[in-house]
Amino acid sequence: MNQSFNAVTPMKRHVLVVEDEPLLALDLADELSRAGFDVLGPATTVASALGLLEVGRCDAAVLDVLLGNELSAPIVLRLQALRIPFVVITGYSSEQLSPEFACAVVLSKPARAEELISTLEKCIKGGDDCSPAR
Amino acid sequence: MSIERAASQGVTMNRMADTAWLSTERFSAPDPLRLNAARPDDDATSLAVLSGKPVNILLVDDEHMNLTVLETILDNPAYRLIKADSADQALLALLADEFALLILDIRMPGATGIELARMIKQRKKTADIPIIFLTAYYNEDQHVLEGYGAGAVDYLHKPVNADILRSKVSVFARLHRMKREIEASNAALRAEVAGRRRAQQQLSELNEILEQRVLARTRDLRASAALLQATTDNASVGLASVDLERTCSFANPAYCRMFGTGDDVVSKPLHEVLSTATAARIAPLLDRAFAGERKTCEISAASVSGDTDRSRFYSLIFEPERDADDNINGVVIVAFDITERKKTEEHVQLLLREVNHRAKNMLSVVSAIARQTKAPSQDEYVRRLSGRIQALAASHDLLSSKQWQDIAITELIRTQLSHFEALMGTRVMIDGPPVSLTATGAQFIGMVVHELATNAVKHGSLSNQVGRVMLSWDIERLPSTDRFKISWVETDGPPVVRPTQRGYGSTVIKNMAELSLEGRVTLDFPPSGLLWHLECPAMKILATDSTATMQT
Repeated sequence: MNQSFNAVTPMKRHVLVVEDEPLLALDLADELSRAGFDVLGPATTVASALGLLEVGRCDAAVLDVLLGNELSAPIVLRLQALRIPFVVITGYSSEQLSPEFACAVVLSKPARAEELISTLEKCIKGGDDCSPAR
Repeated sequence: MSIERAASQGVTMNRMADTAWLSTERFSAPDPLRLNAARPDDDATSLAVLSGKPVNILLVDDEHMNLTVLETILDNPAYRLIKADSADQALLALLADEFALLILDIRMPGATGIELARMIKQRKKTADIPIIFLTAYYNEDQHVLEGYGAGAVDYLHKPVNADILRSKVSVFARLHRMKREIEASNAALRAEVAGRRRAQQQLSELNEILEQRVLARTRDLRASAALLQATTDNASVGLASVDLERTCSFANPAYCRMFGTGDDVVSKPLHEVLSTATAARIAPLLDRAFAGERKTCEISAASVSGDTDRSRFYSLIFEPERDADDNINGVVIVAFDITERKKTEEHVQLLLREVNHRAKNMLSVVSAIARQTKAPSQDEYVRRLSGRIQALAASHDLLSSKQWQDIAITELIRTQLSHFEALMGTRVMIDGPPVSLTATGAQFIGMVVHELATNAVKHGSLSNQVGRVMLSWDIERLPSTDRFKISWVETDGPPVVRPTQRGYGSTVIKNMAELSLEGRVTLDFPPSGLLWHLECPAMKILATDSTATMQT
């Protein structure tokens, strides 16, 4: 873990990373920690992601839609319930996504690290405008 | 014989008188005026010329002189004059030819003219030939002649008046001609009657044949109607026809099944047979079909009201039906079940989406590799990155050829180590049971083997001439769960140097395994050579049936 640089914020934000492709998960974690986030995970399954949400502090999340054979929809519902902002990264086009993802901020794979980080920061600042739990 | 006798009796007796009457003024040169004037036998002439064939007249007289005189009087192209100087000759002539008239001298030696006449009248064939008797004296033979009665017999007194003779001959000739014509037309009539009878016969024969053909055709029709019935009854294609009143006039079982109409659709209005939605949908198409256009549409059975499988899709064709005068008198509806095609289309869509998804995932992986790859120079960076992308591509080929499941581990390893084909079995040894990997497991092993091999060539045991690599794997059976173990052991390489920088390689061979396989990775650098070891739950990396196969 690289904890040496943190000029932007005195307190690091904790970001949950959910991605089943290990290399992508590690790369995402790498990019996020370099951008000053504390990475929660990465989780490669729905169960492990929900488990991490129970035990750790979480300020935001980055998640893939399809984890192996399961959809990450339960994680989305949980995040919305907890009013935690999140960004979805997927190879699917947004109209292919199930209704749970309707109001989510979606980035298409492959996402540029800079774009992901700026989007994530916007979501954190914008509060809960992308998690209107119905 | 009696003729001969009669002839010899009367010869001398009449000779003089006979000659006398013929040689009188009556038979001098013909009057030029008379020749030109209309003569009684003029039309006989024209008739003869017209009909082309002269009538035969038999002149019978024992006196040659008299015959010559008669010949002269009756000289006419319409007549063919046959002379006979005895009853015998006359009879012979009568046998040979058909005669219109006989001019007969009553008094002849041998058989008299009367006897000859009697014989002629008795013979059936000659009975109808008219006879003009020439008599020498008035009254002499009157009573005899009257015995013959009816019109076919006439007589003239000598000396003969040429005009009267010609006139009478002309009358008989005409009679004969008329008789001949009547006979001819009778014959023609008979021929015609026979012809008609024949035609009638042929007609009735034809009728018979026709009737048989009709019977055969009816049989064929019945058979083909039965075939058609069986075909439409058992067809998977729905068939129905609609008449001008928009009433269903026919529907086969498949159609009734598709639209859940029950069997009694015939003569019901179409909107009663279909749901309101379906009826509204097809009404405009039906209108166009009645206007002569062939229309098609696709409908979902979900809009059909009847009791039917609503998950199905149908393609409908509306085909105008025409009568013999080419007027549209109905529309045939052909309904195909296209559910399978729809499913295939959906499946193709799904696959395309999946392909797109996988491509994007792969691009993400590639860009992650690019980001994670570190190198001291640009050239080295490109070399390392392209090596990694090629390793990924090689695994990918194998994965897609196996449809992303059950990848044989040996095949995968050989693919990744194809550069070291020459060293196989001598410096590069692989050993382990023939298990199959999951797609994730295969991708991981592929990447790891590439990284380890690249490192071995660059820094490890494959960078000198004698170093060796042993890649081995096994499954450890434990009561709780099976565990998969794989290790890469290098020996006889150059002195081992622990790397100072942790780059992509270590991410792959250590972190990835821990993250995705819940495995434990050991990476060690003893003096003998690099040592990499992975141990993880078998179910995380092996295809499910692979472990089952191993246990048997």
